[in-house]
Amino acid sequence: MRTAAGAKRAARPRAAGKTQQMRALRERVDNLAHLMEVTALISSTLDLDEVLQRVMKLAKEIMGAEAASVMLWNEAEQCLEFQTSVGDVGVEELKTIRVPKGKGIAGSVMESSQPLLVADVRKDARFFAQADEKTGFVTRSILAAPLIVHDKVIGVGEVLNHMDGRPFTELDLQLFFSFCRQVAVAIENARLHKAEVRRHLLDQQMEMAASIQKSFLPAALPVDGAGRFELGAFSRSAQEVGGDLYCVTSLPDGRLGACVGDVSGKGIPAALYMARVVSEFRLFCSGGAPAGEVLESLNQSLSQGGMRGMFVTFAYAVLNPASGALQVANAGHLPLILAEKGGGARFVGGAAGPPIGMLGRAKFREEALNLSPGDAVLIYSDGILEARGKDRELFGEERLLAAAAGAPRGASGLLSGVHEAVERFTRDAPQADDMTMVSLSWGE
Amino acid sequence: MQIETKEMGKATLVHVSGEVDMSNSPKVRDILLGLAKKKAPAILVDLGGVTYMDSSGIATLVEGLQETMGYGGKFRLAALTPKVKQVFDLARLTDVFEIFADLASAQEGL
Repeated sequence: MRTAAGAKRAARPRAAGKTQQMRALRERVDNLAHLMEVTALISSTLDLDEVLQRVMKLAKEIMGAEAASVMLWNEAEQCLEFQTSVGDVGVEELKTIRVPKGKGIAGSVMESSQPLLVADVRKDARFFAQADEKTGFVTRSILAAPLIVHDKVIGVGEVLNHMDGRPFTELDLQLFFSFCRQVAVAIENARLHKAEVRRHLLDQQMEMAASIQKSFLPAALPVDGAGRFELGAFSRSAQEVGGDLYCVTSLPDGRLGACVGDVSGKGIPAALYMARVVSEFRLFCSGGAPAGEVLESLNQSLSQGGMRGMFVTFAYAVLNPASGALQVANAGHLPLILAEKGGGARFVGGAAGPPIGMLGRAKFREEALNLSPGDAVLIYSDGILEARGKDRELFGEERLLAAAAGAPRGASGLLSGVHEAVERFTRDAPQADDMTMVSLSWGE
Repeated sequence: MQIETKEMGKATLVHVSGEVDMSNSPKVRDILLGLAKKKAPAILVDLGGVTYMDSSGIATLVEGLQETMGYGGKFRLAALTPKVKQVFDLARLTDVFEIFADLASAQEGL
């Protein structure tokens, strides 16, 4: 009995130990459940302030704390700033507080990347009373843990004062540290989401810019009922918006104007400049002025207005459908190609002046050509000539001339012949530059 | 691409070499516009070592020229390689820039 009683007595501490173990286990399960709750919260909410508010409310509850807060590291200012707080302290009062690395409890955690338990702040010289002074809150005990993302500390989470009045313990600290790992993920997700939203918005704006830019290009090409001429056009930007332009227009005296331009640079600035070039070109050519004069007016206008470093190479051809007479004015643009009915192809109408927009005083002499029935002319941008094939080799002048010479007759034949040759040459290589072509054929 | 500047009497020499394209022309721009901001009386751009220049490089030179002309400074190009010279000839940029065969002739009359 004695032995048995002794055994029973001896069992009591074991039983007590077991209960304690059970409680600890239950606590761990509870904690795990809380962490899972945080994880669920994190994956469901992407607004940073909302995530932090909800997560820190949960932190306060789980840790049985009077208050909880998150401070994030401001890289530009090199300090920690309050992002959110829950409990009896308003974040507005805290927002003005800046904590440098190494200062106070939060600054120490920021510096060391290690969680910190301060059971009694009165006994810790690192305690920085500024927040208490601002809010009137009285801090007794603190748990502070780093918020770590990809091995980098992005901020510090804190909980203040246990509700029971007891100091926080090492176990509390471990739990809070685990919790803060989840908080860091939440912050990272919210930040990534914000960047994603911004990128999406930019993509949308770019798409809109591209469709606005398209509206500056002709929706349809003029067709001659009498069949004296034919036109073809192709334009493809390397990016959403490009710097190439073309325009085809019937002039009041019955002649036909066609141009191709290539604006320096790419992206939105080039697209805006292109829109201005097209608008002003339409204005200047509408009266049927000689091609050279149109370019001079355009050049004078675009050289003013302080758009330094922006320019456009521009070739403008005017065809008289009655006679086959072709006037070409070229401002720093590549020469045109004349594909003759007989099968030959050669460069004509090379640049007679510098690109438009550089210097207001430039002159552009016209080159006059007389097309024979069946001849076709191609105006193109340097994206065609500089299309790259295998081993970054350029398409180049020789291949372009050969393609034009071997192309089927007529404006559409010339366009498709050159286009197919470029496509064959570049195969699946990414397009580096905008490509634009306008073709016109006369007679037959 | 490499770029260096050196004072040469009244002129500032900007020596550019390698391939000038969209990836590095902003660097050339910074240097040229920096000189223009200080109202350098003469900028000589030595293109002797430039093997390739795309339209962004040309735009940069145009901007340098425009800025320099704005305060009455001189902006000269020197020692264009045949490849770059061909681009300048083709686009009639020779009408826009003062271009010299070598550095010595570019310095004359400054």
